[in-house]
Amino acid sequence: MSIFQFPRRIIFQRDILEDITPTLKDEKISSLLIITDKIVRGKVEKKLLPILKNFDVIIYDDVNPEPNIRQIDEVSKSLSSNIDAIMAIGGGSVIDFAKSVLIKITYPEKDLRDVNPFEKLDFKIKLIAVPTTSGTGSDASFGIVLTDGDRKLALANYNLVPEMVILDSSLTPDSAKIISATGVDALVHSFEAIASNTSTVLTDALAEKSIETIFHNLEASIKGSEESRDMMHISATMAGIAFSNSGTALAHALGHSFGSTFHTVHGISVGLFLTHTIEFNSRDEATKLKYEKIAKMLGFRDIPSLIEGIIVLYRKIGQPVNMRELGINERDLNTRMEELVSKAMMDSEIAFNPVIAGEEDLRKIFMDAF
Amino acid sequence: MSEKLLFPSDEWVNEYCKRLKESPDYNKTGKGWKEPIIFRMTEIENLKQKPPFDSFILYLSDGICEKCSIVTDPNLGAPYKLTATYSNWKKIIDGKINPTQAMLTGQMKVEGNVAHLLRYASAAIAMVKVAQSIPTQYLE
Repeated sequence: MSIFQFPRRIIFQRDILEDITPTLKDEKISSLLIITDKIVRGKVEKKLLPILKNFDVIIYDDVNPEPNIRQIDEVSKSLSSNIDAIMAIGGGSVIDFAKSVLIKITYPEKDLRDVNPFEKLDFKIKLIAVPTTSGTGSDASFGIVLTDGDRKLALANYNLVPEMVILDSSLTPDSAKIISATGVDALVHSFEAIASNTSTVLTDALAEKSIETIFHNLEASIKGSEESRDMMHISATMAGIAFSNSGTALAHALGHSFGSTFHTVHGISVGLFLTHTIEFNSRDEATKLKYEKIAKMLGFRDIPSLIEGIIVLYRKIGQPVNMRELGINERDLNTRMEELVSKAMMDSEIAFNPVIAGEEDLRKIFMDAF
Repeated sequence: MSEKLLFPSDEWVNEYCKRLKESPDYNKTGKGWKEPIIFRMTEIENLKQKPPFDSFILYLSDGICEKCSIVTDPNLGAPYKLTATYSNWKKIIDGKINPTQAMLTGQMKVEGNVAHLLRYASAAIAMVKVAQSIPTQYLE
């Protein structure tokens, strides 16, 4: 038996945000809290506010990358729960921030650290996700990644899957750095959804197709192809649905630990460990067969050539392939090694890995990724 | 071991504790976990054969099972209690339900600090793998 949870409605059309009011009326939404960041606000405000003139709209735009629990607790106290919907317009941090605000304005006493997949959260307010990057999958997922001190917390609850997703690829950035890091994040989501020990034929189908689409469109997307950016946008959501219904795995546990220790961008952090975890997980026969299938689908001979192919893609799009390329030296790594291992062992994503990993395994992968 | 052990029985629980102690996977993933866990079976009244007990406790510490015992006192508490029907325990031990999924679907009820438990979810997977390694005979 498996549980599958999807957004109830996904709208995928370039420039659709300009014509969103009929959809909002259809959903009986008349009051909205828009959560965004200052950069995205600058981009969408002129388009959005005139068309929302007949709606009660509050905008909160002070979301920074990697939102922390303390800020969310503070901000939520000043936000009203007397709204029909929260619309999160932004990248993964904005959407995760909005999910957290939704929890806190519904359950003010709840400690966000205690959010877990085994409880039912009953939200009266609809959550609408409008992702402006093509990678995090948070628009379709039940997860939240927050910062708590120097630790990254990966939390989840099925009731946090947004009610509606609006995929308007005109909102995505032109920056090669952002497209590369978020695209790699989506690629890692797909590979990990397939490897996860709770994967199913349904999640495999979505993840396989998103790997294929990302492989063929990421580089062109960076070069400016509108069609490729559209494909990347829907692929990131497909990967989000896949991992939300199966799980991410070791590359995410390692990436969360690495990112919170060396303050690197999420996509770059998880991407750093993808090839190493493919190698590690290939010792599980069923996972090995899945990787071989993907290798053939992408035109590679076997798993080593798939790994080589991923590295070639990384080189083309400017994704670092090892820690040295991020300016980390061996002394830094050795000094922080026990912290890295300990954080990764405590990351809940590690439980979905098809091969059980212990501290020694993690130390070796961190060294290999150096 | 070729002889099948009845689940639940003293022999099965002792063998489970012994195998957890010897399991490299559990040894590495359970490191840091210090709390005892009670395992409880429900809906046993419909079984043709009556089980000798409905609960047992494992005293787990840093990746090993230090000791185990049958729970005879219904008031005995532990920081964590995992409860499922006999039929679902059978499915979990046979690998037909993933333990994480059993918790997500409510087929296994968890009492205790769930956020803490989630940090050791890979230890739970390792524990199930160890249970699966025991040749087991079930009650009808």
